[in-house]
Amino acid sequence: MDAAKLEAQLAAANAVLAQVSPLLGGVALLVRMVAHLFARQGVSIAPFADEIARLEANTADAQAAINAFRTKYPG
Amino acid sequence: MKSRRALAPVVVLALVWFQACASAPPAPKQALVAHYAADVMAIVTQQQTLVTQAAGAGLPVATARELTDANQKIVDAATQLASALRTYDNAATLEVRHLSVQSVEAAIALLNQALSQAFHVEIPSGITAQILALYANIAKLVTDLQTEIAKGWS
Repeated sequence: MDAAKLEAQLAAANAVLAQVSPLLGGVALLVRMVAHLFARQGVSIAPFADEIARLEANTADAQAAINAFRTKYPG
Repeated sequence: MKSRRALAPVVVLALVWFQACASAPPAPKQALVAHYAADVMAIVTQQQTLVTQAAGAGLPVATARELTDANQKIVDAATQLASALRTYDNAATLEVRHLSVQSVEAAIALLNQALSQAFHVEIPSGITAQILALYANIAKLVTDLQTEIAKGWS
């Protein structure tokens, strides 16, 4: 590829970049807004509800085991 | 036509970015806290079952009661922790999330206190090797959890 051709391609690429840059900023803002709206609606962006559910289930099991003891040894 | 071509990579980038936001990995610290606490509660369940089986068959009923009361405190603290973690997970604003971190930390402190009380119940030797082994497992989990918490909240 000769230098003139390369220069022309670079100029074309720069022109596209110049068009795209402000758009990228706008899209970034839009994505942030949507993510924020999702978060406000209670949709977790960092979900770990499964682990909490496991904690709740295991805690309920422990309570059941305690209740079994208290039924067997009341008072 | 030219502007449509220019828009294509922008749209693709936006989709990739949005996908990355939507499927971000779990908040490691909070997920670990829930994970360790769930493991602790599984062991507490096993321990309580053993206590019930051993009560009156070598393990004095009074000691079994003391252990059961200690376990009840652990259950109460774990319930509070799960509730605080749920509030954290569902927080609609950063302010609520920040406040719920304080609740999570308070519940962890309560859980630690309840666990250390349980460790202080004197268990007669001989019959209780399994119970002591379970306590050792709990102690290891608590140490791991404290190491994680010491690194700070993300």
